[in-house]
Amino acid sequence: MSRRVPAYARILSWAGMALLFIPLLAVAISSVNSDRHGLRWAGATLEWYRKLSHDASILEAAWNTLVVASLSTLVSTLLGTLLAISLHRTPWPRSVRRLFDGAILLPVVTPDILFAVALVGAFGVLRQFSSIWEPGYLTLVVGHATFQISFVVLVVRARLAAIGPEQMEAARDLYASTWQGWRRVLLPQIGSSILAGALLAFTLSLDDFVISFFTSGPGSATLPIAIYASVRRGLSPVIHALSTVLLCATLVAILAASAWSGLENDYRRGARMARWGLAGGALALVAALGTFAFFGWQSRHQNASSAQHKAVTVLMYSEYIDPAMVEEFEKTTGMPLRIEVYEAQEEMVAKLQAGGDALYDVVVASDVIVRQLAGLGLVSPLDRARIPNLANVSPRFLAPPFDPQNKWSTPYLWGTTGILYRGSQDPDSLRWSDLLSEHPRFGRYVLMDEGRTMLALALQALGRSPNSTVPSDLREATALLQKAKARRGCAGFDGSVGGANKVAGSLVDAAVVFNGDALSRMEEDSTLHYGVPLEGSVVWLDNMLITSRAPNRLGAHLFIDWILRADKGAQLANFVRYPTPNQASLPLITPEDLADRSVYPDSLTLRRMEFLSDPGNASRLYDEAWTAVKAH
Amino acid sequence: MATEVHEGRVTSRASMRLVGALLGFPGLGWLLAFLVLPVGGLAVLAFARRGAYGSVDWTFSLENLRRIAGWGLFGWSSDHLEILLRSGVFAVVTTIACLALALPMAFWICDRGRTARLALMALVTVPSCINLVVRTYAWMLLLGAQSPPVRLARWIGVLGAEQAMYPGWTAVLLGMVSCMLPFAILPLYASAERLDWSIVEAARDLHAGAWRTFRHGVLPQIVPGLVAAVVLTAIPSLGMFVVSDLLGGSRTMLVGNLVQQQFGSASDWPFGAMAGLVLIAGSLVSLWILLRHAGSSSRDTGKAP
Repeated sequence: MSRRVPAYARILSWAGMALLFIPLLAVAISSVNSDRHGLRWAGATLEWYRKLSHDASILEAAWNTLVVASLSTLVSTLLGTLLAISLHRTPWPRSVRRLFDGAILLPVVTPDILFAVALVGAFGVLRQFSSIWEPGYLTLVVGHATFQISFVVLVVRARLAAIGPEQMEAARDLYASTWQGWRRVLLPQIGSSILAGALLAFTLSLDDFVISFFTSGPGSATLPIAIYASVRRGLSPVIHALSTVLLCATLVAILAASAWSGLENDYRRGARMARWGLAGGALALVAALGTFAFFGWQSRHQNASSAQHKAVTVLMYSEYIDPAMVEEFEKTTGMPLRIEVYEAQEEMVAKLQAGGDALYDVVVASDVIVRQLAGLGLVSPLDRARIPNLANVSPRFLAPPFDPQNKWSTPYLWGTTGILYRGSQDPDSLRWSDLLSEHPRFGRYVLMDEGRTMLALALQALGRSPNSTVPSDLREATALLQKAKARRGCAGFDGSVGGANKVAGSLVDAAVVFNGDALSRMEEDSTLHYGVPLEGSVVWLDNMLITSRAPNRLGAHLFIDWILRADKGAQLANFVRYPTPNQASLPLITPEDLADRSVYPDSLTLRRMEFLSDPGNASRLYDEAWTAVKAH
Repeated sequence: MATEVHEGRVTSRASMRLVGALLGFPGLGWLLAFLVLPVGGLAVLAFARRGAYGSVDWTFSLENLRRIAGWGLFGWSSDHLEILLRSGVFAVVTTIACLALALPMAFWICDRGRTARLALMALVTVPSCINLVVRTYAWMLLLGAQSPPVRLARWIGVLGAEQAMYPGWTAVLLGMVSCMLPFAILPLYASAERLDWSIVEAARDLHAGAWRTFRHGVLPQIVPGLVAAVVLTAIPSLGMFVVSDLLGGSRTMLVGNLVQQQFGSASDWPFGAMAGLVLIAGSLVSLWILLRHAGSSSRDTGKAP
């Protein structure tokens, strides 16, 4: 052959392959690493695989992912292929053709989030006519198929265009009808491209997060939703284990298929084998997911058969409740408890707006969000008579400024915001200026990637109220953060978990984090400390609220009252390692946690802390200030 | 009735259109109902205003247009323009890096035996079956200060004792190329496989150097694949923010962040819709320029794209 790929091209190709496969290798290694955060090697273990086989919610998510991807791929391949054929053979005027081309390119150029919001709007209109458009399987499949169609059309049409008109004309000359010409001449040639389009569509559906999150309802959450929710706490090794299983299944299928087709020498049979090989790869992926899915379906089935009473569905952060409590709740009340997860507060609000307020019963929301949820009519007032255990809550957390009569919310857990650092400094003499001033005391540091909180902390560093709505205050806070960010020591912004991980991994010396995340790192490393700066800080309180159209209001009240029991409050706090707002639970908290001032700060520190409130109409001020901090 | 020849058959244009409409109707109707109309709705939303608690106040206003151009509550700032510009540069750099790797890879794969070719093409798509976040997180673990590869790099002396690749633009570029590369290889391979090598040989016979052989013998033939590769890598990179946030330490903002922030923490859906529409418009305009340019460059050689 005269093609002769030059040496530099061969080197580049191997580099490219390395870029593709090195992260996959790292995923496989993390899945057998016993270190929860994967930052260092802590010995081999199969623990995560064992956990995976028992994790009903991930297995159920795998089942949902498979069902949705298969159905939507089926729909989109059929519609997309027909559309591609239609566009290929129909002599539309140029302007009409351009219009169609534009419509097909639209999903490719539309950002996911915008597309998701557009779909939410469309489903909202359709819900007026029929309740089948409530978020669930149907909306998921329709949403996925909509962006898949374009990709199928693009792939199939490219192949059709390459064939040219001569073949059909030749078939005609041999007295083939139009149908015969398509059936015998063209369709066999585009078969592999239809398969390629379907495969592309399938993988796109497997990977989609944003559209899935906004269009799914309780019980139809997919794997990417579980994965994104888990990122907040540092990606769980269970996810790595699952990814490794999928990876191995696909690799084995590909190797088997290519070994099989390697035995064939005849070109045509080879081409057929190629198609079979691709189909085999897809099949193996389906089989792997299917195996998980079967277990998922089984556990779902068991849930369904035990559900003599109506379930209570709760929407919260992932890993925010002891899994043992889920079973206990069902034993106590006879009502199954379903935990659904979200990644960020704002996404949860959007999900409730997308019709979720009629599907979930209880939602766990942070302080700033409570007024917004009430203002948007997404939550309903509590029936206080059904929550006698509210009396257990410490007076400090009763009637918080964002809900002065506890009309909408009851406390769940609370915590502080401070600095996690490595070094010998006294946690009691910390100041925000240690991070933000011209001469920071920490060499390298990260700030919190959370606009409202970080601006509030900067305001406190300047001696202003963290809830200030005075433009000049915010301008000063913005300038302070911009300068801090521009300094050499600043390693950027990160979420609380990411920041804590960076300190634990010695990537930086200090980070702005929530106390719970600090605590889990301090246990592993005694040179780490956490403190709340003297200028004051932000105290946060997560709350339980009942949605406005909750399907099980009775169960929702039961759940809230149950969580506020002395023993349950302690069980929750001991598992999650955040302080409990439940006074009656305090005697049951582990003594080490109770004595640890980074979990339960002393009253002097608490006096320096303030709740954040919803800035109301000034929220645009905070938004623009944050954009200004981040933009440069 | 106008009769013409279509697919080797004498027929009327109207009847071809009728059949075409029937075949295309389900797909087009679907796209119209769930894509074109809803996105059209967003175009209306973009001219509304944020109401109390993030609801939508449906009064017409040009405020969002002013805002995206830079006039905010603190007066005019170049923030938004910088964000747009940075996103553009980010997409261009990612695309160039992807093409620089994908082009040799496509020819390298073509050069293998049939079985190996098949296996390699399948292998290239393998990473797509693992979630993007999981792969990006893996890069984070790999480039962290305590990871074996970074320690090795320090020991060799490539990296200084205090230096780290993560978080930083090197890490972002690695992550972006790693996740976009398959989308560049697939279409380029399809083009390279069908290459007419006699043209390349003719160029060599006429004593063309390596560059001129590539420029006049190879490049015009792979324009369709090249265009598809650019579209499939550049457009998603333009709206991407997950990889840049995770690997770049989210120091700066890209237009993807801006859109996300409006639908997220700012709960300002109208402004989010406006920012998103600007992104769509930017993508469509650059696509249009690209397609026009590609069309004319492949016409030069007399070969249809």
